[in-house]
Amino acid sequence: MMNAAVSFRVWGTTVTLLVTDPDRLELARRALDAEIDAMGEACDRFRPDSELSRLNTRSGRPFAASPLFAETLGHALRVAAATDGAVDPTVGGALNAAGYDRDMAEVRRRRWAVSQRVRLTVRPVAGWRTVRLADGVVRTPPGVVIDLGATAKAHAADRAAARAAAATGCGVLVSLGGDIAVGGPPPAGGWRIRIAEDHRAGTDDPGQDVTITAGGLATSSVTVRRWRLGDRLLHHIIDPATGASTDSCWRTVSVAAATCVDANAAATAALVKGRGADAWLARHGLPARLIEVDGAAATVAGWPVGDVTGTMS
Amino acid sequence: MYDHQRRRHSRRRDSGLAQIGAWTRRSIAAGVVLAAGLAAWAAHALPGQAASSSSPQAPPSESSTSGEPSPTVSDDGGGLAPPYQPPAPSHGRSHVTSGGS
Repeated sequence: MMNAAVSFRVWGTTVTLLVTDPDRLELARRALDAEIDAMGEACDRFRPDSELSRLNTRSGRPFAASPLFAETLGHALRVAAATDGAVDPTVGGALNAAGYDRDMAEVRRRRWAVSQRVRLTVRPVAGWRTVRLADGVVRTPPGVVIDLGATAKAHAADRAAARAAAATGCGVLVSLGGDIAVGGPPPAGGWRIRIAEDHRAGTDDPGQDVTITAGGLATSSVTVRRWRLGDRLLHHIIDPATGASTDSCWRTVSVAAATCVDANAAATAALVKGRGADAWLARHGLPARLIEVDGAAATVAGWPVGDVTGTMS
Repeated sequence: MYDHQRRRHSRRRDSGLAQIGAWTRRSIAAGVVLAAGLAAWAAHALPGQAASSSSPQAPPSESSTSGEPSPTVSDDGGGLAPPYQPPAPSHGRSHVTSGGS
């Protein structure tokens, strides 16, 4: 049976929806739109009316969260613990300090003289342990800014894929900027995915092709979502230990997991952990492909070997 | 004569012990003050420390929640769940691309 697909833009990135039954595409799209709208209202850091923005403007005081926000923050705290704090939701202040305080297109439009020296303070973030979530009430310390970028998009993909699959009864793939979740019965041979540095790369561009039949797959990279701040070239993967863009030996990491949230958390954690991340992923049984800064590739935990050299360097 | 010397010696000893006790109390008090000052400074200088120190003083809940807030996850938190099956090699035309965004 032929698949059907639709792509559009949201949150400054590309969304792609695939279904195994073309007649169910509209139904699946409605499910996806509902999840995107709900997640945007809850967790969009750049929307002043989102729950996250309201929480951040009243940090230090108890905040009654919606079930979706509480669920997403719960995932963020869970993956923070599971990654030994490498993926931490309290990096919002560090991102703002680095200039990433609005949509990426606007950040890049800012005019900075390359010769302008910028001094960034190296300081650990407050840390996920300072965030309290109980019975739907969130407490953050005064001044702490939460960012759910490492969780919300992937969680939206998980929820949308499950919701669309339940609504349509067919196979569904949801990609939110390369964070991929699948649900329902997969197409024959599985969902074929091109692994690349940038999710905007076409399926004919260089990369490795793999298939998945369930769960999630995500790629994190320091080569995209970059911007200049004076004489500094920064990216969005923040090391919680320094509060600055991570200086990783890896430039791109792809991970497959039971959910897109866990895949994305593991990929981002690997960038932050740097040397030793391959062993950490293997120890947790998370299949992954890691690209070093010089383009050399490594695979762990059953990720297919092959077509991994010379394509992405 | 002998008793007089003994009493004088005892008074000197008591006086010395009292002086040591006083100095010990002053040292402990100064230590407490210094530690409190250092903690207050660290709370302002380090965001993580500030956050930790302020957590127990969180204002009372405005919702129906009562008692001390507790973290949703413990340190073991549950690990990241591996996939049911690892990805397999593919040779057909890909449906979609996964990359950084």
